[in-house]
Amino acid sequence: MKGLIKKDIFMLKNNTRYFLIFTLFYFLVSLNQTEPGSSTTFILPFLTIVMMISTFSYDEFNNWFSYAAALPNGRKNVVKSKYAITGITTVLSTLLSIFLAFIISNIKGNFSYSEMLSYLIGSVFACIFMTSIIYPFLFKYGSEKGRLVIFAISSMTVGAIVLLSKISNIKIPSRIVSILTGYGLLLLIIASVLMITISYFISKKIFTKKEF
Amino acid sequence: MNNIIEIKNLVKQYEDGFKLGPIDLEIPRGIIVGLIGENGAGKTTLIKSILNIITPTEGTIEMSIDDQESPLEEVGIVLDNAFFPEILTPKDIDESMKDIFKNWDSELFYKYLRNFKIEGGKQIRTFSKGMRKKLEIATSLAHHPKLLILDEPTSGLDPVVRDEVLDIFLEFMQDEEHTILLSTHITSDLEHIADRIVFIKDGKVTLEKDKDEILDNYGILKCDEEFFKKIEKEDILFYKKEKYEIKVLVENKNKISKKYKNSIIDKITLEDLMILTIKGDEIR
Amino acid sequence: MNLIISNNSNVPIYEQIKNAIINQIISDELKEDDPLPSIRNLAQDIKISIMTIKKAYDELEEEGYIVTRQGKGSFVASKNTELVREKARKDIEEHILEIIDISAKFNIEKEDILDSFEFLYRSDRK
Repeated sequence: MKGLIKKDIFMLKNNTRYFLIFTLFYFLVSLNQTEPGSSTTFILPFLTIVMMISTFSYDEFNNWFSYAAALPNGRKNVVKSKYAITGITTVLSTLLSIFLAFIISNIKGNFSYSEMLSYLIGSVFACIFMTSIIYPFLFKYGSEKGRLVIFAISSMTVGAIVLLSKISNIKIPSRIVSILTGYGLLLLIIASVLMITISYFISKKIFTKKEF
Repeated sequence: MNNIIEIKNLVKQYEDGFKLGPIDLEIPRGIIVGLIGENGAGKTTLIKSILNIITPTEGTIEMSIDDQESPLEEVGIVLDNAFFPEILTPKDIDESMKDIFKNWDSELFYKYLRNFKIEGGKQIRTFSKGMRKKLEIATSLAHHPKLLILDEPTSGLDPVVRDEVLDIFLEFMQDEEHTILLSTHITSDLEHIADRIVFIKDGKVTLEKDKDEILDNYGILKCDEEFFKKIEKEDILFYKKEKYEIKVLVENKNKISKKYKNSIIDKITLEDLMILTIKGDEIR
Repeated sequence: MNLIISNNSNVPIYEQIKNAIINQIISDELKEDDPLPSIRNLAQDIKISIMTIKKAYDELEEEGYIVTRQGKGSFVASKNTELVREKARKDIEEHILEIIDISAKFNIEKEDILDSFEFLYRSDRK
């Protein structure tokens, strides 16, 4: 599996430049904002997912999965390594976001560090949910159709939030913040572990049966 | 001679109607087996079935390889149009493969790269088609496999490079335990180096013989209509009527040339054989 | 050892290899106990399939021109004059068969052929 993880890291390496440019851009944007609610540090986990999905399209373009299936333990490890590398990159980008949030709150003074952190936690969990749903689709239908799924899920989520806030007349973002404390957080962690596990086994099942 | 691969009653049925098999095939250890047939005949499907890239509908494929736990450790592959993503470099491939194959030999890999004049630090997408194939071949050999399974390994290569590649295959064959199964539509490659020919037509194996037996026994009898009428039906395997002559595929050309006085019988090439069996007619 | 193989000849390649080696044994270019290249080595050097060369070697061994020692390879056998003569006789027979073929095709009498054989044989041996 180590070899396959390395391969994905080499692929991501090609995009690190863009990742860093984006990060810098959002960092500067955040510095010029007045409200912490619109702080953009929580965009980084999403960016990571987008980069991961792009590795799928590169893989497909050269029929890598077909080749990988004929490597020792290929079928077993391709799925495992994709989930592992996604975990690693998500953790890394989260750490980077925390670091940036820390800097921003220090520079700006009036920004609440904990509030920014709550947004970040929210975005990380959103990413975990998205990954869990998208990956089985990516393994089953490929990145082209996978993108459609991402689009559908994100627009449905945004739609739901907008609708909810219209109906209940409360500020959803601040509700999220309050959820993310105490038992809410614990519940989220359990839910995401459960989702990612189920997702992994579905993907594995899809991939072991897949024909290329 | 023992067999490295034994295929029994292999069938692969596709939803679009294409059907491979039923195929029974044995690949003997220690020789080069060439798979020929027109595009779409089922060569790639057969190779992918052997490599477990696709799952057969019916039948069994057995590989007798020492490492039973993961037999693919000992198999080197070149697939038609499937490889590492092209944004990677040969160096990246080396680094990754080190942890994929137990026996990956970086030194050997770089030796092949040098021989092929491939730069390790450049992205694959900057390479020409021939360079890519050479890189794929280098990759297939660098973990000291015992069996090479190659789908169209020489396509896209110019004659000089093809010659180099065939040399590498023959070098690989210096070990008596080594076996190559390769598919190709460039039949002249096989005329030189293959020991055995497996001919696939419409998903079925229509001919499976030692190459010498084909080249030394089969012949093309060329004649006119009048002569053609005199040939006994059982002597005609396939025939093709052309504007000025009729070409007849015959077996046992020495016997035939004695049987039919004044007959003109040409030596056969694998290409002739392919064309006559695909485009020609049978008498039935 | 020299090996010149024609891809266009009607003589099978294994036979060409075989004949080339026999000729070199007869002409003493290859002497008793001289080692022959291994089958796989030769295959690589002249770019001809392994089984073709194996067939040539097998027949050479069967006919007593070479011996294979386990683990050491193939060597030229001790020259057997009777064997060489036998080979010559076989060659002659083949030529005679060809003569018969041609004479049948053009209705030439056996006596005519024997006459010309006598004549040519005598003038050549003078």
